[in-house]
Amino acid sequence: MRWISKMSESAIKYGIGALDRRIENRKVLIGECRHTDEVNRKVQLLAYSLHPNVAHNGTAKAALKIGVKEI
Amino acid sequence: MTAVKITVNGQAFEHNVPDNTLLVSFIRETLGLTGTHVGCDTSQCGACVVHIDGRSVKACTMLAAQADGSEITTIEGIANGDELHPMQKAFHENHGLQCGYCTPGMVMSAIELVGENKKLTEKQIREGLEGNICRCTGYHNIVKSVQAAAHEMDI
Repeated sequence: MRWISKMSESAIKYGIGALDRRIENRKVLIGECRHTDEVNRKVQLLAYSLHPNVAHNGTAKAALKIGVKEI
Repeated sequence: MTAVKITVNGQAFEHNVPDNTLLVSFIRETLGLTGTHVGCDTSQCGACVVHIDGRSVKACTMLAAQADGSEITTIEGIANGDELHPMQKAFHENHGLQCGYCTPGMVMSAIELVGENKKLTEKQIREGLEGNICRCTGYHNIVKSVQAAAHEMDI
């Protein structure tokens, strides 16, 4: 592709899509990477983000309907 | 409760699970194989793809009971010891992963795709991976990785 030849050497080396063989890649690729969903302590604080599709007052009303006692 | 006998990555398992247990929950929570991810939980994103009897399946919309008696392969089961599967190697070498959340599903889907046709065009790869979503939008290098792996697996 013509535009690649116009890219600077640093853009090719460090720009978007540049090759990056990170050491953590292996863990991800073999299924040993831990994401937040895999952290389950006996005592841990959980936070839920409620994002209604209506503004302001609807938030509280909607949340109360599904059992949330306070916002 | 349902008794489920499944072979996962070559190892046989037998567990009693609630009838409504999803296969992905069974794999992650009962068997502790957390390499298979849950992204959307609605069969759209493909992060939960595993192979059942050689075919790729989204494990978030299948019950564990439905997989009774089958052989399952997850992302943990495709490398040969320290040696990565050609698809895993290609993803590593072509920077086919960024945050890595979609990667297990992408790899499992891509393996089946390449298994069916090793002479895939870029368009066919993009179409074949339509059911796998990458929120990092790293599709360019994912396609490059699949092409590289297809070449490697064709030799």
